[in-house]
Amino acid sequence: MPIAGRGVVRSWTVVRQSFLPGFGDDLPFVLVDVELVDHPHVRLIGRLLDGVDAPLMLGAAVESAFEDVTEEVAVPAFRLAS
Amino acid sequence: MTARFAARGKVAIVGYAHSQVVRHAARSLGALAVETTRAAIADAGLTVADVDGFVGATLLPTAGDHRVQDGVSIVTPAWLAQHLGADPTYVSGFSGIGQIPGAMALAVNAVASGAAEVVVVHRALHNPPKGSYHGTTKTDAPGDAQWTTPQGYFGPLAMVALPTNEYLLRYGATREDLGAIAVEARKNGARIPWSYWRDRPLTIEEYLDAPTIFDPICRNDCDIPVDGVATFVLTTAERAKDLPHPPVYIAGYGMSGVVRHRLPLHWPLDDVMAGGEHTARTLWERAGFGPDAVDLPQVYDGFAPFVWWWLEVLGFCPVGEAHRMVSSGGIDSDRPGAIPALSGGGALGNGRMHGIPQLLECYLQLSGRAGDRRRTASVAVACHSSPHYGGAVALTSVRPD
Repeated sequence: MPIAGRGVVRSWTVVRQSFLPGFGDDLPFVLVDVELVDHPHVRLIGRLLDGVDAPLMLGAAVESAFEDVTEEVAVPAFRLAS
Repeated sequence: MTARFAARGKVAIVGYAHSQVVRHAARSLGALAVETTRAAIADAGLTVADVDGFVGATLLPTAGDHRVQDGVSIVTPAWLAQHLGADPTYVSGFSGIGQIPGAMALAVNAVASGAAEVVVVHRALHNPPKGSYHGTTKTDAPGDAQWTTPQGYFGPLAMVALPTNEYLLRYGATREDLGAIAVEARKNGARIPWSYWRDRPLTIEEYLDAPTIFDPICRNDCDIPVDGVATFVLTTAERAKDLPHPPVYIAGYGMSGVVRHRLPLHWPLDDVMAGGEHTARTLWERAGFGPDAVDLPQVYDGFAPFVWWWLEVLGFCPVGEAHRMVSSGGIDSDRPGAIPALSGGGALGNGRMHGIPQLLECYLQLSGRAGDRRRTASVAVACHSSPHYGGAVALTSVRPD
């Protein structure tokens, strides 16, 4: 099912300690809980690539983005919509 | 539900035992479970030969790399029965979430149906001696976890952080409001002789000084992993009359139902509340009463914000108001007229004993066995886990009609 790649922020958390290996150098980072605008019953969680100082608020508009973790692997993420 | 709950008031708790709650026990969890269960059976005025049912829940609630070994890191009902030398006709385990009400429901059903006459319900919780409790070295993320783990979303603290911040943002609650929960739990836990936090209350200043781990959650919002065992003995209301302690009757129970499929460990606040509404409705329908009749609700607090959500779904305050209720002394166990929802210290005030502190406080107060902590109470509710992935048991000191 195609999606527009836009959503609104329903919650977020700043991760300051990771229980997973490999995230230590990324701390702290923001995870956003995003409701898709065209499928409001679907919610995704991803990194907010704008960083921990981004002006985040409830209902903020975000769009999908990708974080390149290697040359061959990209992880779905979000950016604040301009 | 159309028919009346047939097991209502037919089953009673008639005895209990609880081990000391410690970070790491000097003896194996299995040995503690055998000792504690022997004590519980004796407390009920019975012998091992009288016990024909063993029920429990065995989840080791960690996301970390820890081995599950019966008798060491978990204790199954079958292991316990074998090592007590019992010969039960009914052995069952609850494998869902909300382990204490879930196991109680199995035990109540067994006694009420006649499948067993005397059932012991035990819970043995373990804190692995080595390694981070929730930390993992895993580098693969199969199945649904491919949508969360690569993003860094992992473990129960992340799980509870999102709906907690959602609550803060939606209703204007603060970290100070969140801290009021742990302060109340630790105040009460400091008075419990077997608690890990015995004589160690927490101030709001100490709470606020702790750094957040997954905002807004800090370590003081999380119960501490421990070694500990508790056992309850259940039998029929008829047989309970001849046993040494005043029976505490099970009026009903409610468990969560079907919850919308989400990403792993994703608990949006609306799911918590919608699922919790189902849990509460089922509980009140079976029990035959509502929140107005309850003088001792014991809400679950393994993560502090669960307290807000339970208070709201059970109807002790309007939705969105629990943070104000708690911060203004509404659950202060020392304030006359307040609802003493954490008087047993909860998980935050005892250690990670799952829903045991809640059920035990209900039992001790309703049977008049709480000693110098005794309160006047006759109708109680013991909750466990989240309202949408969990459950609650309703108990009374007078046998319901």
